[in-house]
Amino acid sequence: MSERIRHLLLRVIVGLIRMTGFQAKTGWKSSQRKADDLRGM
Amino acid sequence: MIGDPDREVVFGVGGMLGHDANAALFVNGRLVAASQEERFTRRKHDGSFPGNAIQDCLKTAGLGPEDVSVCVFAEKPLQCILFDRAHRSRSLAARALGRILPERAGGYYNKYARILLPRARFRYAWHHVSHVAGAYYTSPYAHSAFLCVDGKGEDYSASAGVIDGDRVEVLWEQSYDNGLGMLYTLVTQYLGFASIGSEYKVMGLAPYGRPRFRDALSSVYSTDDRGGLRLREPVTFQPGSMAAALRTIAAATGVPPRENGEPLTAEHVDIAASLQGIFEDEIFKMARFVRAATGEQNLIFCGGCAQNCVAAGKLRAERVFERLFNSPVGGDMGSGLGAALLYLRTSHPARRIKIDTNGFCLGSEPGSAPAEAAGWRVPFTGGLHEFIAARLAEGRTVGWVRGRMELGARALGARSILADPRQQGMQSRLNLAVKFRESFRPFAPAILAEDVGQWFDSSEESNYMNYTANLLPSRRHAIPSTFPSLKDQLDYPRSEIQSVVHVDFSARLQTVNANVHPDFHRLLVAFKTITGVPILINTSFNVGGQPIVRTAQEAWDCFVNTDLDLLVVNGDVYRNPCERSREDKLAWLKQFSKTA
Repeated sequence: MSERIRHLLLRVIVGLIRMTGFQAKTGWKSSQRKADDLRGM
Repeated sequence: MIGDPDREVVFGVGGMLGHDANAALFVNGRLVAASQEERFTRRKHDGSFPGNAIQDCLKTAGLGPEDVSVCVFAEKPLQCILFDRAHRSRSLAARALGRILPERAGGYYNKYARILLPRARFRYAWHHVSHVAGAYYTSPYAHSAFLCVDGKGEDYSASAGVIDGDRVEVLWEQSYDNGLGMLYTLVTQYLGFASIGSEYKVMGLAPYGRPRFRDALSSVYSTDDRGGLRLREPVTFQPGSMAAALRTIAAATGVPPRENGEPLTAEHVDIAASLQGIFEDEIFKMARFVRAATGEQNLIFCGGCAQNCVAAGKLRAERVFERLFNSPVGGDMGSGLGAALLYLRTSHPARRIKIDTNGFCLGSEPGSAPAEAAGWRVPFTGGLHEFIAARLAEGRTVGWVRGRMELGARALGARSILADPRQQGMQSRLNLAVKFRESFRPFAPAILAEDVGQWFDSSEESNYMNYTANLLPSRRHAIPSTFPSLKDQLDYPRSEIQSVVHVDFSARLQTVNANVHPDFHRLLVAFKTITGVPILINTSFNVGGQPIVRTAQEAWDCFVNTDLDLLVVNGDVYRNPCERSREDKLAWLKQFSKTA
């Protein structure tokens, strides 16, 4: 994948996340993070 | 032998979040070497790919790049970049993408590693969990709660949970935006300490001031009774966003941001005191929450914010947990070590991991002194330690370069500048003529572990300068309630060992244990025999803005450009030629000024 296409794809992804994401609230939240997960993600 | 199929060679690599790049090497589960990239590139807190550190570790182990079977990064690449760009913590879309995208989508992230380590498989650990693993396996605990706080992980800035030999569970987390670490970084920059990793300067400045700006600062964030601090105006680690936030802080305090190099005023000092007070309160609230929620008696405190040894020392002294461990590599400089440990634990669940940290002296040997030093060699009879102890007792300052280099931010007696803490004016002399840095900066005492209870209010181990303690009241001199200036306060004789005791009588201890740092212990014993005082000033062998020296050549270059009196390299002693003019020294210093 060329650098240009990769950057374009990244911008689309980031835009999607901004639209669908939300700002987290203050304070501690229970975590679903799998600590031993060593995949790339 | 290259390519031995029975040998497992694992690298942990950290610092790709932008600072303190590092690498740690394990061979068949044994920690062989670890190092930081800044020691090679000579750029403090360097966050570029740690290729030099990797190669140095391989050289120490007698291995080649083809031998490396696994490379584990101390952060998740896609999560990092998505959250850096999108600024949406806990976004379901980002998490879903992380799961859907193929493993190779992270390929941009490890392109240098793929070239350098052609046969390695790549793995990626969560950033905070890397901190926790690094701290846990260097702690004395079998099971513990953990509290990890820093500027940012991938998409979180604080996490808490439990860890033991069989499980590590992240139970709670705070989103990465605008947390406690970000507040400390912002105010550090606002006070004119612009370079990354300068937060410890604010911590050192705080005891000189009064926290009269707490209310003003508290107007820029909200918090709760569990330490859930969040800035009211969203900020990211981007220059434009930071600049806007600095203006917000200036508006709140009524004091304009200080430029680097401008004189420090009483207002700046009081703002530092206010920030440190807020920081400690929030950390205490977090720790109490974790204690109540886990019921654990041990706490592992890690992440960049845990490098605040004042807060860590108070947390330990207040017994929020029965026991507290603050690893010397619990910050970013040890994240690669933690990532590799996490991999070893995951890939070999039946194997119990126990590592020998060698007193965290895990880097390479210094090599020989340069040829130009030969003419300045000092002959001596008797033992080296006894000879140097006598010179220190006379008031000489000594650069001490022996054995393998330390991992982490602190010099622990392998790349150290040493001096007698009883000498009047030694703090200013070392700061201004040797270290070329702010005169208020305190120095740490290295004290014989067996004597610490006779001088300080703690007899617990602090082998790696990771906690503060207070000078015993019987060792203190009476002091006035007010001082005309910061300099008067600094120079006032507060105790017999003034140079290593802060204005509030606290000190960042290195308890020197014969089993952990035997060579340095021997020097302290010799010094105590002469003076009756088992304490030396121990500060890192560098000047302001410069990474700690690594090789004998770097030590010599630093030595001749400062007012240090003697240099020890391996078993030899050299005196300073004193041939450089002040102009020459300042010209040499300029190369480090960008990171000062």
